[in-house]
Amino acid sequence: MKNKTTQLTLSFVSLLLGVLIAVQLRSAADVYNAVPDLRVTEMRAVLMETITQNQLLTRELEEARDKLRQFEEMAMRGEGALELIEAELNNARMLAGLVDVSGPGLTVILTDSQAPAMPGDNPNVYIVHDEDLLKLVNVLAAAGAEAISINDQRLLATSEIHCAGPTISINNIRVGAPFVIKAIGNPETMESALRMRDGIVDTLNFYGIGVQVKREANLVIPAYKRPLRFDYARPEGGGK
Amino acid sequence: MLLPLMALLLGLFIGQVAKINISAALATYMSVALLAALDSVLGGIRASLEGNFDDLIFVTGFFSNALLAGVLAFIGDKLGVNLYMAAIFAFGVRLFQNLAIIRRILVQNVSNWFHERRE
Repeated sequence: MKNKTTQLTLSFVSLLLGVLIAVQLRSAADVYNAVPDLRVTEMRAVLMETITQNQLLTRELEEARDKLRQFEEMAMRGEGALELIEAELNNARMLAGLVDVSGPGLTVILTDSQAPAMPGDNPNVYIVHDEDLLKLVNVLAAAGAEAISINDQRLLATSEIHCAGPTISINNIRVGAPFVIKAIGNPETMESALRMRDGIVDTLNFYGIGVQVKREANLVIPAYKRPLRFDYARPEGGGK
Repeated sequence: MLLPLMALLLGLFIGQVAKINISAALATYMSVALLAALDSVLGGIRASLEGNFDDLIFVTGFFSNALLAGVLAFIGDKLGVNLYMAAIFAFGVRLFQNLAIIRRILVQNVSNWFHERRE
């Protein structure tokens, strides 16, 4: 340390070195805390899911705003918003299954196996079970069915498909074979969903259960006819 | 010797407070550059102990070594060759050599001082 210049030079360099070290220490800690590679794919999936959700919600928001605007316009024109509310109510009723609905769709008829039972065979495999119906209904719903009934029992969100001895209980009503399942939706989509290789139709055919699938240009699905009762559930937040 | 030490502490403080964040991609190059800078400083100390310290050589060495090491590591990454390993190796070896020489000189100085006192 001979003179002032040297001192200053060294100080300057030391200052820089100090900054470098501090920054490096911090970013090294960052790297240590970085997300492990393995979780990246998982998180990407979550991200994509969130983005899709976001888009859906945005669309919903736009629709809600549209509706609000319509209400406002009607109110300004002095017309009662009654009509709009009625339309809304009809929609809700349709969704709840409280009105008859019609439209294109599929009729699926399931019959117990006609094959003569071999001695020693379990007769159970030759009849239609509640699980078969559940699977079928599930496939139809997945293919976009908007209304489904089994033997004219409209399926609601609360409907059960439950084994009841030789019959099957749906909406607390016992129905037996043959089962006529009606579904309103895109007939093509629903039929190909049913007839997918190794799908539900293949599986049922394997056990000899008769499956007839018919496309319908127009079929009617009856409303849920029993009274709706809620003993436990209450609307939360004023039903909004 | 006091002023550079104070500057070092000040630099550490600034770096801690300034919240400069280096992206993870740049952190590797940064670490190599830091190693080169450390090597330069140790080289400077050694030179000053040996009595042939030169301001200009020291400052240019500090910057060019750090910069070159970083750039070399970057180019290596682009070429798919782990050049930053070469830099770490080269500077690491030099760092230890410098440390060894500094230690020798210091030990020599201390033992000389003891001998002088005894005589």
